[in-house]
Amino acid sequence: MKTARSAALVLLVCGAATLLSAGCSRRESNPRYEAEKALFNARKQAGGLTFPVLGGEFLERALAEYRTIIEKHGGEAGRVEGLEMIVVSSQMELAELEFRAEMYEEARADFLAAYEMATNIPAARANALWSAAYISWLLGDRGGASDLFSRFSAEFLGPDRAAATAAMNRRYLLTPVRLAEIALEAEDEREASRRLGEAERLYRRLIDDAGAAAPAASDSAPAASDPASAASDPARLEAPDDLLKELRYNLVTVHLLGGRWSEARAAVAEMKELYRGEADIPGLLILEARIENDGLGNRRRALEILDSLTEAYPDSRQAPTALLSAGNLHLAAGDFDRAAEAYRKIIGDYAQHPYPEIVEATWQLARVEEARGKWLDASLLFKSVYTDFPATIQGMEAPLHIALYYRETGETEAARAAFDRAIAHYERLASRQYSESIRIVAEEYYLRALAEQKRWEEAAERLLALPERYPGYAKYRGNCLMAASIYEHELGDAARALVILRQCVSRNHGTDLAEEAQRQIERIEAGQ
Amino acid sequence: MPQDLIHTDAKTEKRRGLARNVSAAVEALQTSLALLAQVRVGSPYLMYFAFQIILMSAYLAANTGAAASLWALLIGGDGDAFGRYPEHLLLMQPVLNRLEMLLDIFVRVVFHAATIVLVQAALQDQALSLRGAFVAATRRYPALLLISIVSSAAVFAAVSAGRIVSLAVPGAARHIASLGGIAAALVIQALFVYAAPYVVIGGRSFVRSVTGGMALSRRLPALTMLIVAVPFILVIPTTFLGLKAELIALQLAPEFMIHLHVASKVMELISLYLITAGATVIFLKRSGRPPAHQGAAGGGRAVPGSQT
Repeated sequence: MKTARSAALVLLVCGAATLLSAGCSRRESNPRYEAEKALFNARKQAGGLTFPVLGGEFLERALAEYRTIIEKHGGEAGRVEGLEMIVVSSQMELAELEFRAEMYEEARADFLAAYEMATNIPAARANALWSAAYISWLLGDRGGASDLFSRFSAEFLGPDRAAATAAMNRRYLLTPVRLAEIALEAEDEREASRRLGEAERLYRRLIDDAGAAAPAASDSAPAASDPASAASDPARLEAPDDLLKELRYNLVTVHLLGGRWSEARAAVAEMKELYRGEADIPGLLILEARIENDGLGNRRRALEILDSLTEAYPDSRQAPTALLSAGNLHLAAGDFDRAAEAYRKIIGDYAQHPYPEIVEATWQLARVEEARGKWLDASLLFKSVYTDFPATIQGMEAPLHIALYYRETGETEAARAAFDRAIAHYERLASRQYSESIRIVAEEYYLRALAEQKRWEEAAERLLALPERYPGYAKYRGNCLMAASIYEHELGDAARALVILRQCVSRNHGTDLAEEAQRQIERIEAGQ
Repeated sequence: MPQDLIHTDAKTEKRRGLARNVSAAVEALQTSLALLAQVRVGSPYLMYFAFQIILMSAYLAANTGAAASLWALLIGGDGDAFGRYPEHLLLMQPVLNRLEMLLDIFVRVVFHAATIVLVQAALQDQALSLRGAFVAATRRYPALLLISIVSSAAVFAAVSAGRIVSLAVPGAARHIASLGGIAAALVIQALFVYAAPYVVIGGRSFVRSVTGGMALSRRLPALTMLIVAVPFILVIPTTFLGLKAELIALQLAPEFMIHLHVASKVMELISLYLITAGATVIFLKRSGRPPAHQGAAGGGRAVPGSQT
């Protein structure tokens, strides 16, 4: 009886503890805590994506987690302390993940949404606007990029804000240069000149300010550790000399873009006086050689500078670059021997380094041998490029180059065998053991090899298979248009083209792609 | 056969002695487990476990305002972090560890003593209610508290010394220092393991119970170490998990901290019960109060404390 009573008592105590625990665990709803928890989970999902571009289920889940936070907590962001930062962070991270997954349109829209949201968080607002502008540029939307970069310039690069903006991220200082580049791409010389003028004024003003701030900053070094004073003058957070140097490089860029070669040369000469360390001089010499050759047409002087660099700084990172540039200058002048000598020096002296110059030098040496008519030597070099450096652009190009050579020289059998070898090479590179970016480039080369052989049906079917193999790679979603075009124009099979386009419409309902596919359907049907 | 014709060397004798100790330890632990058939014997520790779970729930539920300030008081800093995720869950381990360290010294000692009283009563076929056990335990609270404070301080000092030395030495010596600290803590625990039975069952004062307990431990070194070390093995997995808890929680889910805390409390509950009950069984056998079912003719007292 007593045992039964004891058991009942113990059960009662444990039950009460369990009930109490369960009751306590059902906490009063705390939006900030909930949002932080959701953001943590979203970050975990996103962090687990090694190659977001591969996407699929995990990418969708991470994106959905971010969107849920924004939808659920966006409305109360201003009312709950700390929630605005969480919502803005979610919006920014959503856009960044989309960018990493190459969903550029979606990323741009979400960065712009973040820009609108982050009214009280200047760093996020600046980042969002600049990123949206950069993506527009990446998408080839010059007008959009120009508008957004202009808005950035007006909002963040005014005289009162430029120093604080530079402290956020120095790449923001290149905004007027980007605007000038966009204008140059659009062949609007006047606009480019105006933007370069703006850039020059900005950099000169900041150089003057940083120069004036440098002694003051060093005099009051302890104050820099005070976060409040640092926040009020973010430019003081940086080493002024470091910022000054970057501003001077930016100024050289302005001169180069504006074609003001003498001024660029003078600016580089001034920098060589200011920055005499081994860390700076080789880079400045490379710049000087480019100004001499590309701007002032002084090839001999450019070669002298490059030679002086390789002699004085053989262990610098710029030494193989200088040798490659010298080799290319000799090659352009038809001096094959000296070009080959420079390329061989890179291959021989820097083989132990993982420098991209080595693969480029091997490729260029092969081209030299090909130009000299020594195809056997050249083909061996091309082969070493794609066997030793398979995942590089030259490694992709080499097998196709060999095949095209045989086709041009009329060696049909050798060309067929070389094309087969090239396709096998691309197939291997498109296998799962390689990274996403390499696989995608290999797929492009695979298609090129098929197209070169006019194996149109295989090319079209491969194009149609790619979206399924790379579900997160947005660019492949438009493959249906290309495949339909191949069936219509190369294979003369309009019926199959229509089938592909109709599938494209149904699979991408409500998108710009579906609209374009529908237009193509109507065009083909009208033609029939 | 004359005794001197039986060949027994020192090694064989030592082996036999060890086998006897192992057998005695196993028997004591088996007896302890068998006593759980009487639910009330395990009740005090179960109640303490329930209390720990309630405490954890309170921590999880109250993470803002005054409660957060209270938690912050235990580990330093301000209370802001407790209102944030995942910091709130990651801080649970240090906060509850510190809080429970105090509770273990000041509160658990009563539950420990009540278990000893109930084990004695069960072994000697005496009728004793849970309430009676707690009344008996509370009466001896001052001496028990002193034992708790002294033994906890000594264990803490041993583990801390091991940790400090391990930080100062490189390579394998670091692990040896840490393990040395833990081994020293186990030895200290073994020296104090009979002190509480001496207070509760023997009715001795603090000083006499500690000296008596230590003397008994010295008389039965292998057996006592086994009684302390075997249950200790139970808590090793959760202890090791606890060392990397933050890392695992950030990789898996911060809620892992809750699961780990509950798991470690369960293992601690089992380990504590086995040590307490096992030590009480040995104490009763060696101090002339044999359990009734092992042929002893009574001798124990239902309500301890009156024996001199």
